[in-house]
Amino acid sequence: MAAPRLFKTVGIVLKTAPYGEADLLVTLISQDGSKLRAMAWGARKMNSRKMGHLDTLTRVDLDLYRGPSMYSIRQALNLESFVVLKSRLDATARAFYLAELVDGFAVEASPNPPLYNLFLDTLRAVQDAPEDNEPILKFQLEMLRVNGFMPELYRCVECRRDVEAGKHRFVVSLGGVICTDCASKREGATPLSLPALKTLRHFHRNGDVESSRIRISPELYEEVRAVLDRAIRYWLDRDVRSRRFVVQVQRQKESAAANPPPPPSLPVGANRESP
Amino acid sequence: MNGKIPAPPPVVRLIQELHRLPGVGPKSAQRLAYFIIRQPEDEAQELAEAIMGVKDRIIFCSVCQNLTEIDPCDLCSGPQRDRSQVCVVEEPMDVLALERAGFYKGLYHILHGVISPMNGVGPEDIRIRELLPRLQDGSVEEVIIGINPTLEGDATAMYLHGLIRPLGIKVSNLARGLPVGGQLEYADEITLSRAFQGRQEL
Repeated sequence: MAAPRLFKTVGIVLKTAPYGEADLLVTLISQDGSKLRAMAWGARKMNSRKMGHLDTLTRVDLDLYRGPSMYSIRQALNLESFVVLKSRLDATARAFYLAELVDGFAVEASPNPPLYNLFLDTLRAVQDAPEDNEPILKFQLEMLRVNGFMPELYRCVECRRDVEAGKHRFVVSLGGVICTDCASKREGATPLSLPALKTLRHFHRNGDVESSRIRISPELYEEVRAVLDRAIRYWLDRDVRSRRFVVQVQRQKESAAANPPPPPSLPVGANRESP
Repeated sequence: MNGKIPAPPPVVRLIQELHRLPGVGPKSAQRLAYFIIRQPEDEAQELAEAIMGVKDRIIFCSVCQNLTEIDPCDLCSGPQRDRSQVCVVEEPMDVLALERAGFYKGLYHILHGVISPMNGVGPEDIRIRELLPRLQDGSVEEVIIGINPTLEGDATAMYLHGLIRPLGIKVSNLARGLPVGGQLEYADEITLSRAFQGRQEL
């Protein structure tokens, strides 16, 4: 039996692109974890009923029409706008990064419900704690796992023996840790500190974004992030463009903290000390 | 375009060039090409001259980055403009919309885009760099951010705010809320909350 032409789904908008005079091409991940692209005709008009419901990073309830060449959005109702997340630049930059990864790994007409749940949980975690690095690292590792690219963290990817603590390296192209004996015969093996390996194993055992929080030093965060960035870059086969903006926003924040803005000027004769 | 077009080479070239325009598909390109071919020669000449005129004479204003024939543009050099306000907009067409409305008398700055990290557009890819020197001489008292209220637009506004705030200049954003002619029941959560925040006493 042919699939019905009219159907409903819930999804999160990953990105939008203007199309034609007043239309919007919307890319979203639906709750079954597959990527979906649909046209919202007239959505860019000021009085459109869909406008505002289809902004990037909005969880939305959709009525869709399956046309011969593309989907059309007939109705849209936002369920969750992530208002707090969108009011902070650091959280927004991180959310762009998450959305770009989901856009890169999700596949059209290929369900992967854990991917949708992971994305939604991480957006909520970033909204609740925008400066917390842990949800981002967990997301990176879980993103690899739910897409079948989980790095091997316990046994040597070459000889399959358990790696001994401290006697290991990491090879992105082979998909995980390698013992130092095998690493000497392989190119591309990079050092991975024991705390970084333990952190990755901890995240693997406690994949839920909200579970088992640990304190991670800035140095350890950078090391784990760099390993996961390299693995993601390898499997995506391209750079993640939003990463640069996350760094720029972080630098702007640090610069603002170091150079606070001048106080507002007072009228002549006003005494700054007076109550 | 895929496949060989069964037409003389000059016609094929015209179709291919028209097909490069945004929003013009292969069929529309063919229709436009055959429309131009059927036009009298002087009208086709006028179209060609108009295109070349734009490319020959239009430049970016070195102050506001708007499109202009003379540098600085009429808006930047106009003696009636209020030099204490600069309105930052996304595209030259936004200036046309604001000027058509006629209530704003300050200056403009056109970014020619917004920060869109997923598309690889960062702050260095739009004309933010050209804005900051304009704010150094102390004449500007307020920067009004008039960027479209999308997530990318809001990210650009917040980034600009972070850059301008240390200069001690007031940064304001255009009000958000219900459009004239809109209906409350179809408004989204963010629009409604901002409309409530910005409510005014009658």
